[in-house]
Amino acid sequence: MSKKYKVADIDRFEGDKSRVLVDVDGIEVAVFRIDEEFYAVGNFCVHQGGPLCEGGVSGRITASDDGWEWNYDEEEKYVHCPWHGWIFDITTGKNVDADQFRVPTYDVEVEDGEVFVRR
Amino acid sequence: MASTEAQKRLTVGDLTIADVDSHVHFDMLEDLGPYMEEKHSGIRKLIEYTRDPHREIYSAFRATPAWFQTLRHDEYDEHNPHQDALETTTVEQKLEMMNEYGIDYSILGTGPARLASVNHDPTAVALAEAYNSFVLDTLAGVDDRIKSTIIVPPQKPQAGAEEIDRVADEDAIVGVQLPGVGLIPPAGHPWYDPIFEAAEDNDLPILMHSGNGAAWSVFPVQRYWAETFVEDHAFTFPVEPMWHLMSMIFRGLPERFPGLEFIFQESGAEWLGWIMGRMDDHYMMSSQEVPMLTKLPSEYIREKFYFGTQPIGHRARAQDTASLLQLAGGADTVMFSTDHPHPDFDPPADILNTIQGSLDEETVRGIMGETALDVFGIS
Repeated sequence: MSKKYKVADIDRFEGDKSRVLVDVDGIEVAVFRIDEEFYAVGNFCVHQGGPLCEGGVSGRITASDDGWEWNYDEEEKYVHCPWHGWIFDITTGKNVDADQFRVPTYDVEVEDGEVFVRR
Repeated sequence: MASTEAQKRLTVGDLTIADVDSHVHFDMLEDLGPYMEEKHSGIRKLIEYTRDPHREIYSAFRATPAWFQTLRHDEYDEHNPHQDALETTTVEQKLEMMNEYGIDYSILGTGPARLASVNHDPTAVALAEAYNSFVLDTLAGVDDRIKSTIIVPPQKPQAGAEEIDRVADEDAIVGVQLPGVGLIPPAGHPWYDPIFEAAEDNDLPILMHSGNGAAWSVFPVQRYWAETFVEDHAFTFPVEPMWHLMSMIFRGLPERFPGLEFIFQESGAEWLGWIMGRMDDHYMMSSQEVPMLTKLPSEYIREKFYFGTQPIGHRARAQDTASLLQLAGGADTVMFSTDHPHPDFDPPADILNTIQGSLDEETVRGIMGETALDVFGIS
């Protein structure tokens, strides 16, 4: 049975792509607010232990099949580890370049203006 | 190699950790300008006029912006180690990082690493002199855990030799940077002999640090056809030192200067075992072309050459990386390095965890710091 931990009042999330870092029972977790949705990701990069969720948030650069059109896809929600730039999908915790790497994600609940994670 | 006995798991705190490649940021004009002597005031004026020092003082170019995934500009920039780089300008800031990661000693450099790409030779000399004076005044001797290197201008080796003589008595100066990026002719050429002679006379090792932006002069075709930063950067850092290593060994540098030791920084070391085998094979087949050599290339390398671990390659199995470092010579040749605070730095715990369990404790201790203490005369 998971437990519910309060992260912050919702007004701590100021604007799109904002985030709050919080200690959840000894585990550092970042809660992101992107496009009015909330996502929680463990703040630890599986590469060399960097503070993953303190890096930049981005979409994805994609190239067309023939390589002549390069688009920036704002729909994707990625975080880049500030140490070495490894990229993880905020919504799934999966590394976007190699399937074998993944960081934990947590369910987020919003109730009465308060944000919680379940762990 | 792998021990059959169960080993105690080591932590960074159990070992002496020495980082043989650490950097502090400085600004060419603001920081070095005040250290340019009056005889170089005309150079200072030239630098004041530049709008883009990378292209108007140095000749450095990139295919696309560096470290696009790491060097981002948003509200979290303060956590970015490269942003730290811009702020790591003092020994105190460096010590704070060392304490955080458990590093006991740091070898600071490289100074103006793109010095070899400076077209205007008097500017190269003035920059080297100013940087060395800046090091003496602000970095060297502030704390016993911080050791520094000076840099010499390859454009005028005699000026480099005079710089070595000027600073060699300072205890905190432990080595001489011969710019390892964009260096033409290659490092074994007698052109540089005045530098090597002065370093040997003063018992200081030579360091060569790999680079990217200024490597175009060594690899003009490769650079021209590299479409992206990643294509260019992944290639130049290990390959330029391979070229210099060939030159240094096959032109007999260790025979000409038997007292000298050489450290390659940010070249990585995993390729070394392969290239030692290749050089030995060629030597056995062609030794009459290089009669000044008295032993196998790999023997010179194991005795006189050292390589920083960073950037450690990414592999699915840590044991494979440990094996490659063992083949590279283990603690005879390999020394831990971070490259802090640049975006591809390696923390000591990661390297320790990669090699322990595969290499014996003596080798692990050597790689993580004890070899470096010996090479740089730190006690």
